[in-house]
Amino acid sequence: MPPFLIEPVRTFNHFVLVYFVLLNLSYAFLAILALAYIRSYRQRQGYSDLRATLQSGNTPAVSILVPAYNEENGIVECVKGLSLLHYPEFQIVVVNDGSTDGTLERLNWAFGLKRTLRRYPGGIPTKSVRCLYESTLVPNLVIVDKENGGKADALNAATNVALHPLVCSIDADSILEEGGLLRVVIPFVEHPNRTVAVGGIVGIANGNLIEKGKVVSICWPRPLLLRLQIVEYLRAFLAGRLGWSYLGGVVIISGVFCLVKKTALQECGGFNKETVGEDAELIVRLHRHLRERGEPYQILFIPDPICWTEAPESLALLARQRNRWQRGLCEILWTHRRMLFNPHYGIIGVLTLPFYLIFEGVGACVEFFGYAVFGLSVAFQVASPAFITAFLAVSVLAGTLISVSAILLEELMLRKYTRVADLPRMIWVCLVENFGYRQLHAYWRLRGVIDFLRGKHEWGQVAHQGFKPQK
Amino acid sequence: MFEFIQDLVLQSTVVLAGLLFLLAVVLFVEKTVRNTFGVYRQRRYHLYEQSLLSQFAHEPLSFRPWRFRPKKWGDLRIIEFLLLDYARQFRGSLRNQFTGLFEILGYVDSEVARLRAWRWWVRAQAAKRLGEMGSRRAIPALRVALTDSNEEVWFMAALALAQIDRKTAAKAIYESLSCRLSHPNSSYVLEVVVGLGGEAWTPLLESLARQSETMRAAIVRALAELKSTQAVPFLLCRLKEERSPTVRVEVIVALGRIGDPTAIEPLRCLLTTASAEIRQAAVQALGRLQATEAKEGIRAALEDPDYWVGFRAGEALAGMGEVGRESLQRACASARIRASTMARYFLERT
Repeated sequence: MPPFLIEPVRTFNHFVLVYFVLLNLSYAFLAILALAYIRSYRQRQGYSDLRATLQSGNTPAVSILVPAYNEENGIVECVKGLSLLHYPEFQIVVVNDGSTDGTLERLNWAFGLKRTLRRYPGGIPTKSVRCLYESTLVPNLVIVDKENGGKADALNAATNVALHPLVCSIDADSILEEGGLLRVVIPFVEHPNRTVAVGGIVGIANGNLIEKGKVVSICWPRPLLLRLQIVEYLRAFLAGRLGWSYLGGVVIISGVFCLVKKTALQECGGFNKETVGEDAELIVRLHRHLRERGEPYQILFIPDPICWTEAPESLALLARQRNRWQRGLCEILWTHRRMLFNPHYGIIGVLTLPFYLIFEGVGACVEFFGYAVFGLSVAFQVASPAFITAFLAVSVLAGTLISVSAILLEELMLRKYTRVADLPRMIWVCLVENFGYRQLHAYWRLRGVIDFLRGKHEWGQVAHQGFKPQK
Repeated sequence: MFEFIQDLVLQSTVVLAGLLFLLAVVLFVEKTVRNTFGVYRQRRYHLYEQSLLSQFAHEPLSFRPWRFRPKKWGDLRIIEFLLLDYARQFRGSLRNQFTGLFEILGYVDSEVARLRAWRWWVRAQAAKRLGEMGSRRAIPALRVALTDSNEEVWFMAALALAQIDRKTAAKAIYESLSCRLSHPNSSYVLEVVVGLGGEAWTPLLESLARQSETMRAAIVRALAELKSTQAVPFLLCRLKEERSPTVRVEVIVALGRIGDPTAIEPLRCLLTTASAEIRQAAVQALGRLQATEAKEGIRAALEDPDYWVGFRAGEALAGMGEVGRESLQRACASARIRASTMARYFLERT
């Protein structure tokens, strides 16, 4: 290695070391906060009663929004599951977003659709709506057939049609647990004026036994890729978002399962069609809007309602999804750059968004280049192999420890994977993900950042196979 | 410096490996224990408790309380929980027998003792269970709990007192309630007030004008839940004086839910106000009241520039039976496109 490069390489190595320590400390801190949140949540569960919420005349009615684009494989199961929810009053709005497959035909076959004379209400601007249908079998089901305009556009069309004061967005490849809606609505019952949005945990449905739109048995799937994603989801939702919720700084609520106040959504202009991360962008926009108006509000994340969703089963699809997520994050950080490090926006401006910028946005680049520079350091003997090996060992162990702590949180809160035999497998996956998957993930995220800088703005093909139990 | 960092990294490896091992062991033990005992509890429930509870429900006279003696199975709390869960479905004399059973088995005393626990969630749970048990023996302890510094404990105690003895406890509850009316969790207040029933409405009305916007909205919701027609004049008065649109909407919704016909005329007047939110709430309330007198106003609202006012007007007319149907048919035949489309839609649905 040329002598003039030795010092910069050393400096970069030290930077990576400090960065790594800070990253793991912040994740560990979030996991501890999540533990505290789960503890207080469980304490309240000892005396709070879902039945009272179910019977109360003050439980707000909810419109469930289901955007569907080429979802013929899973849409019927999804709507059946939703129609069986335990909730006093709700409406299901499915938007056929210009599907080119048989989504509308499948819906018609399963629910007996009938064209209604009802006019499409205006409100948030959307692509043109062809027709509104109502089901002859499920009284609270409305289908909006419209031209393709993307997920955000479909959600906006559904919001326009929604009858009730709360809207819950759910993906068409997802299944919500029976009592899920009832649990997620509790903050709206307790603080009707302050609560603006509430999110719930998303689990991976692949491999689970699903009958009549209900998850009847939860199985630890066989493909390693799915197992890796399960651990990743647990880490992201239980250790990450719960920790942020405890601090009052949630900025990412997955659009797979999110309950929002309709008036707040309309005031903000609905879901943003210009971003691929419309769910998280909406939450950041809500924070911005309400902080600028100086209104007291709360946006929360609840640990126990679960929405099961279909995860990609091939590397190509997963790469596309992660690329999209990374682009979405970059778009949010760029659109709302005014909020970054700005104390006017409270914890969101000072802590949450800087965290996402430093550790999630830039993190992919640091991690990817860190591996490359470490390789060069060993090859050109800038750093001793013993040091690099020890550092990598610490990195693997710290990563594993944080993932295992997420499993502990799952055991304390959800207990979905009940078999003792699943535990060593889960811990094994926590260890294995550090060898290959994590590096691949860093590469996908880096590609996402590059695509964002190149101005790429498309969803890419998303193929859903529907819910099939494993053999 | 570099050597120091190297040493630190090496030591961290050992510490992290140790922590990881410890965490894995904790997880494994926790899962094994929970699974083992979980299955055990489930079996025991199906084998013993459920059959005994069924026997009690069907033949209360032949029931022998000592068969529930805690010593027999050890875990007092599980049986208590199961009994409470089972007792929820009964009312009247059978429910009173359950109350007697809770006293005989010592559950009431045990929960009264738990009201003095240092952990607030234990106190809150105890208060809630005492309310469900319905034993008057718990009233003094619950009155003391009304002064608890923790909001959740206070709320559970107030709710429990309202369940056990709403008449004599109403004053004490209301006194403690009025100290807390500034609390942001208005749903708590609402639930307690609804628990108190008719005893609560007079003091509620007295405080209606004084509170914050959030609390006024909560009080109005409570009045709606109580469905007392005596509250209607006060609500109508509030409708005139109220500045906050949120509270005005709540008042209109409450008038609709209470169902007193004296509210029809003032509500009909609101159909021409500037705020679409108010017009929508008024049309909905008139629909709930089955206000056939206001059918002309509601029919005119079908043509409202705001889509949802028109939609709610259609809903209201569709719910009025033959009179509403007639109005919808007339709107259908009119030249006004919006009203005619909406009316046709609701006619088809009815």
